[in-house]
Amino acid sequence: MMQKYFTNLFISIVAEDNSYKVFCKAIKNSKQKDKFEKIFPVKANAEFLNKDLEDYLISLQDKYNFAYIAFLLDSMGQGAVKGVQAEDFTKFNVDFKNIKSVKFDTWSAYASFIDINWLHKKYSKVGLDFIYSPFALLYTLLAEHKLKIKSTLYLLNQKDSVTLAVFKEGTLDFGVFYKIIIEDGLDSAESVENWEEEEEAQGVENLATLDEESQADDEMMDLSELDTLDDDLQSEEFLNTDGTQGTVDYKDEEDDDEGMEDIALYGRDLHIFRFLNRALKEYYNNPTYESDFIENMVIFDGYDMSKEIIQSLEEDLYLDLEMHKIDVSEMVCDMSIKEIYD
Amino acid sequence: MNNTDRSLEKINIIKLLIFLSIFIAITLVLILALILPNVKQYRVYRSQYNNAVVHKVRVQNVLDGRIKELKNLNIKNKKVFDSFKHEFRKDEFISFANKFFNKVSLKEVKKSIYKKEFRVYELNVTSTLKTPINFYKFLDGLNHYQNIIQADFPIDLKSNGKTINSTFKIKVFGLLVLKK
Amino acid sequence: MTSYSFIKPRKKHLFSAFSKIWIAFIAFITFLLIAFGVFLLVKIAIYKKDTIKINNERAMLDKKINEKDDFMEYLLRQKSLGEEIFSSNTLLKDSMKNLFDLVPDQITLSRVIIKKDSLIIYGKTPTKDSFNFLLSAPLKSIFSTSNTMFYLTSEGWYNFVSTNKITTMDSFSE
Repeated sequence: MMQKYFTNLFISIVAEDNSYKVFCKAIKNSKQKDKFEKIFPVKANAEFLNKDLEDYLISLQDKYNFAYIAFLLDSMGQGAVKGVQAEDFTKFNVDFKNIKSVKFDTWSAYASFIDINWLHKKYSKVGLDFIYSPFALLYTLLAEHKLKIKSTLYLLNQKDSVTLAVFKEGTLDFGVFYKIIIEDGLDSAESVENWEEEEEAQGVENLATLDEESQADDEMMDLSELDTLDDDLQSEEFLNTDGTQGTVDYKDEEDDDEGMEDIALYGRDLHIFRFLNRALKEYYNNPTYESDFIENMVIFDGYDMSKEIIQSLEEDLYLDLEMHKIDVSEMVCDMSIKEIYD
Repeated sequence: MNNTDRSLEKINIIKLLIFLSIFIAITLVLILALILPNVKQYRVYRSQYNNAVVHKVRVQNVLDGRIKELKNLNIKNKKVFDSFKHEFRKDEFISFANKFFNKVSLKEVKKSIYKKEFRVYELNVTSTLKTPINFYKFLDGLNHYQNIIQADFPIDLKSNGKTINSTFKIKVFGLLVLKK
Repeated sequence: MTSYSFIKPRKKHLFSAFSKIWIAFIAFITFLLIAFGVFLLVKIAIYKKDTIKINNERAMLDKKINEKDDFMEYLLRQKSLGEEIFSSNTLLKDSMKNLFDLVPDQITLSRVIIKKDSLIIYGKTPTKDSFNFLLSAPLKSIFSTSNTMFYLTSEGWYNFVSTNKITTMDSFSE
């Protein structure tokens, strides 16, 4: 009530690339008075909160009487499903008892209960006010633009993760969160899916221009629906626009490297591309999803989508692309502002 | 959601001093403006009251003394006061006079006011008596009669062979206004 | 709007616990002081009112004392009047007694008129001298003026009328 006449500070914490970005907006009387950010190089997902970061947050809370801290959740066990009831979760093989969810009328975003508690504990001295799922952020973004009736593929691109969702008539049909963990060398114990590794090894070998250091281990979130994918992925299948099945053979790809001479996807781009492929395949093939053919794609880029991948997406996946550059930290901040001021 | 109020962990000196000075200022103002002058007034009016009580008690005692005096006076002189109040009745008087005289008769003369407080009822008494000794006895008895009566002049005693015819005046005194 | 967050934001307070404790403490002390001040004011008002009441009562008592005093004087007047009358009756009796005792055996009285300041005696005396000697002398000593008229009767006695007056303040009776 009286609070809005004082200065409220809205803080967003977004993890990216072994650092945390702390973005702050000071609002008084519904007018923005100040905006600043600070980056803390931290070992990501450490058990304890970095001392400098903690002290910084505490100093902000001491300075501003009304401070709200919003955190963009980047843990792996996240996703989104169509529907809001417990049955809907189990339909998509998600254990309802171990997750916490946010309902968006017709669909839900969820995250692992343990991850959220762990986050709470980590920030216990400072305290958290908001924990946002990337799907919430994606939804906020797409709601700003005109909602498309037809099935549209939305992608939120961040440095460390990719959030993907298919929306039809304003409702989410399919949602996948993909976290990119960069580690030196391949560690079989880390990867969830064996087949990924196998396929990955092929991909790595075949790209001679790849640097050793940029070898990446893909890790998909434990969406058990992806278990339905072939263990021995030699090729991927997808539906062409004319209804015929087409395949993309990786082996072929490596042989046909010259065929796609303009497109050479490196490291990260490659992983994203492959992830998209797999996700789309899953979406089209799995009968649980009522899938229409997707023609449009909207990308909200919070990092840097290269020209190459854009081209690939347009040509190889036959998608009409719409690109928007966004500031993730600022968006998260604005989301929390909207929640308090509404 | 734990409450991260750290204000009690590390004390902000400036805030502490500000609160302290506000506290001292308010306390001082209240004591100087509200408490002290009123404590003085309280004492003043209390002692005034106590003096008034003592004074009243003294007066009360004086009154009680007067009442006692009055009571004594009433008791001691009951006969006189009752006699003043007693209504004069001719038949009563005649039967009284008959103890000393014979053939007593009364005639009203006048009624008047004496000294603004008393009513005087004058009557003529005619009677016969044997000897003047009866008259003396009558006069003695008059002082003990139920009314306050004064034997008055003129007194006419006429010898008539064996008896004396007497004519004299009596004044019966009563109260003008009956006061309690 | 419904929240997009997994958790609800915490409540924010304008005042920290530290401030709230201080504010509560100051408010409490202020309340105590004001309450005490009000108490004093109320007591003062009561004392003022009661003092007036007591003084009024005392004035009433004073009035009552005066009333009692007046009444007592009234009663005393009654008493003195009564005593006056009693003594006048007694005095009358004594005077009459003295008078009749004065009369010697030889002289017979036939009528006595006693007035406030005069005495008229009718009677019979054998001789003028016996009257003058026995009665007139004492009468003269009592009264201011004394006149006697003698009437000779057929039997040789004298009827006399003695008129005696007292003219001074010193009358027969008050």
